[in-house]
Amino acid sequence: MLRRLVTGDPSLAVIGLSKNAGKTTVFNALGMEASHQGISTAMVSIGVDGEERDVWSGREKPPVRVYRGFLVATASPLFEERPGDWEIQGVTPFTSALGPIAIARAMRDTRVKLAGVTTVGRVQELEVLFRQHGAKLILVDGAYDRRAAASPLVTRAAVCVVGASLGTSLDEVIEKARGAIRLLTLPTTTDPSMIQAVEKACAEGKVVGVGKDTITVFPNRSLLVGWEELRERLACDEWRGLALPGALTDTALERLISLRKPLSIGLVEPTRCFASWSGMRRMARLGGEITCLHALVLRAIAMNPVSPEGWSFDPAEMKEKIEQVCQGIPVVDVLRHDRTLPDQNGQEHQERR
Amino acid sequence: MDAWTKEALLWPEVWVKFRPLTSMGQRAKGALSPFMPGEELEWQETLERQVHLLTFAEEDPDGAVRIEGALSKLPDIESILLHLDQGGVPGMTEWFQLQEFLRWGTRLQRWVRDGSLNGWPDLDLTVWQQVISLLNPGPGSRIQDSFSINRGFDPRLETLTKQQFQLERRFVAEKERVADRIEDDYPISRNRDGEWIVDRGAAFLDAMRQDGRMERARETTFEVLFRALPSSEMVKITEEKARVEREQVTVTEEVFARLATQVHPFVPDLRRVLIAITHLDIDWARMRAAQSWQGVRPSEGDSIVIAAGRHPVMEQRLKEEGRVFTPVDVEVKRGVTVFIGPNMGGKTVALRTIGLIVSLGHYGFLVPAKECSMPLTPWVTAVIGDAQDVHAGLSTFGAEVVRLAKWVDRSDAGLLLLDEIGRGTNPVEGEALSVALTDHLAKGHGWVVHATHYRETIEIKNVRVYRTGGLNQTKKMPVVNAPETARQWLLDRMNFCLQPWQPSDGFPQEALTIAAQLGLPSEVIVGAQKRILAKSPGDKLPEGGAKPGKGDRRWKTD
Repeated sequence: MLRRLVTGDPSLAVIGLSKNAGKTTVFNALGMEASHQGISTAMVSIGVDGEERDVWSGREKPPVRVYRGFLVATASPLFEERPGDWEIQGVTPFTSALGPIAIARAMRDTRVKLAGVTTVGRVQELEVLFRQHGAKLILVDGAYDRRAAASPLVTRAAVCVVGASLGTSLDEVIEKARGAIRLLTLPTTTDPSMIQAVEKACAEGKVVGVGKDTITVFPNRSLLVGWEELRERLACDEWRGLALPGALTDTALERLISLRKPLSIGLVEPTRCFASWSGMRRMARLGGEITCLHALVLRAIAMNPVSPEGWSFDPAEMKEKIEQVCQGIPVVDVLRHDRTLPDQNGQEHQERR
Repeated sequence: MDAWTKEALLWPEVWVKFRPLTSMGQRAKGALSPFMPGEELEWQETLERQVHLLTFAEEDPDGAVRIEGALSKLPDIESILLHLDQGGVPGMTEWFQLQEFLRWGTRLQRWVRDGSLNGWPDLDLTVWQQVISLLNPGPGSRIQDSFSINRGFDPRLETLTKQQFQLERRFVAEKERVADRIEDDYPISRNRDGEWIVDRGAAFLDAMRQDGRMERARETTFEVLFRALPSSEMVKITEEKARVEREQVTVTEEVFARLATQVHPFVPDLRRVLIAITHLDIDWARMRAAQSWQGVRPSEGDSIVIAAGRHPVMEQRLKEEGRVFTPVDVEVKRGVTVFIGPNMGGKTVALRTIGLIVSLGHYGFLVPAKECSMPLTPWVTAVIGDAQDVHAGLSTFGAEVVRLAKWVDRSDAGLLLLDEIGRGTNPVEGEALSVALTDHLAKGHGWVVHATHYRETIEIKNVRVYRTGGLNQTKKMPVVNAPETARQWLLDRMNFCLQPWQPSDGFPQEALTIAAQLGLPSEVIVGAQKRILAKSPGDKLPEGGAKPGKGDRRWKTD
């Protein structure tokens, strides 16, 4: 499974649904597999501010394993810790709290802390630099609060890590995972009017209404400011959809639900959707739907049944239950890979080194 | 130029067009000061270099792209030079940046030379090659585009690296051997991390617990994670690896310290080149900005003479509205120059254009005009627009007076741009103040331009007067209710051209016409006309255009 993951896409993000989900373990496993496959690989992290510690837990960020020939972008002082291991390829204009972000090639197998760049735009620019230096696969380590790492505007595909730390009971973990997976796999819109409306919403940074035959740009930048005026306009029957330039939050969704209309909501891409699973279901019951201009390709769900906070779940049961809610997306357990895993055709096989 | 003036001249929007490509150039931009009186020679030299750059950029666009490419790649090494000056030892990334500076600096030097760009002799650094050789040891000293300590700086590092590789290979082989032995005894495979995760229900769990070759790393309700204990051979190799790594660190520190000692004597030369490149970058950015507004070189003169002057920002705004900017032709001598003309007629635009052109000239730019000459003045100040200072609790009038008080009696002669002084208070006192101020300034030796509606200002001795063309009223405006349509109609018929005023031109009185066309009720307009007649019974009702006013002796016709 990991082999398919590292050979299938030119860029892959790893995102965690909670802190301590086991993201670094999955990231390291993908790096190891890429190295075994001889793929020219680059690594970068998207974080809050290049911090050395996890901003939420205060735990020191674990270093990632880097293999000879890999390219890495991180704060330059982190390369200085083992200067003999690196060949500096460039220093970017981006800075983190630890210093400027540099790009280096590993001269041998080593480890390094990935200090994050802060914005999607900068990750995109780094990707260009990586490609110029010959990278065929770019692995993006996403901070858990940065689902943006998985944005289809950043990477071609993503692996989502569901860890035991997501909830204290397996049922809670599965329920939260179900909602998160639904959000990340929002369908792509096929309605030409909605496509046009979302593009317009992006270009103008305004909410755009989709009528029966018309597309109208409203003065609102979101549903949170100037809602009363917008509500009055949306109250008539002419509107069948709404394209948003930014995020869809629960508050915004509640407002739309209060209209009691079967509205179609268009977003740029799934990581802009922060609505709850329950809110989305209520919208669906009204006949509404949430779609995206760019779909996120969720290649796999990686599971980790052990929480560093002290609890754990039966790995087999957890895997089975995640498979039930993940809509056919393969579930991988990178630490228990000697167990049977489904391949692309649904056939079970032994994955061994 | 103070913040008010910058705002009035739309300076920030022009300043963003000035974009140095290096980070040292961007820093220098922030600290750039205008040329001052006494610096005319340096000022003209700067302008001359830009003319040369402009010619080069237009004649050899590929060469210009090469120079810009090199400038945009040059890193800022000021902090590295400072570090070396202070006896510090730069780290790997800093050495890389110094190498990049040399790599792109040599190219820039070559392209500047190939382009016959004179004026930057300091780029001829004789030590380029020597510093490059220090950072790129080995035969040929070819400069690299990456930096690694393992690149022949010290033969010991190569030996240590080889040892390290061998030890790592041995370690991995031994680790695999140990793990394989364990797996010979149990029906389970290790995972990617070399660990065994065993279900609690596994029959061999107890045996693994008792096995002295492994340790229990973690245990949960469902499974136990085992890790192989290192063999004595692995311990030996680990110790050997640690020794090699320690030695590597020591040698690396020695190499970096040696490099610092070797490069240190070249710091003054490198700094000189850094400064020269910064100057080139600043001049290049000035040239590119001026290219965007088709700038010309201003010459030195005692009067401000502008032919076909333009304000690039206002020109762009008008272009977006589908309109054309009317260029400004003006001569501002010492003393006071007065602009008169109707509302919306372009007086303020002319003031802004003059202020901007003079300011750009002071900052060493080619200016947006067809021709220009100007003196260097110690200051340029504009009292334009609604200068209400909310924080100081001052009214429009109060804020205006506070600013005037600061600049009117300066002993050094600067350029003062005034827009409708006295408009913010009652008309009688406002006019009196405006006229008295103009009279006072006309006796000074600075350059003052005053746009005003007060007719008595133009009666002052030695005041030069310009008027804007005003409204063409040959066609009556159609009745429209939308103010924007009326505005467009007025703008379409307004002649913004600034021209020397002649007594026969009369004094413009088009406010009521404009007010009517912008939608004020007709009864208000008629009421206003009656009040004018009541105050000046001998006059006819103004119908727009030039009209001699009572007491305006200079244009009164017999």
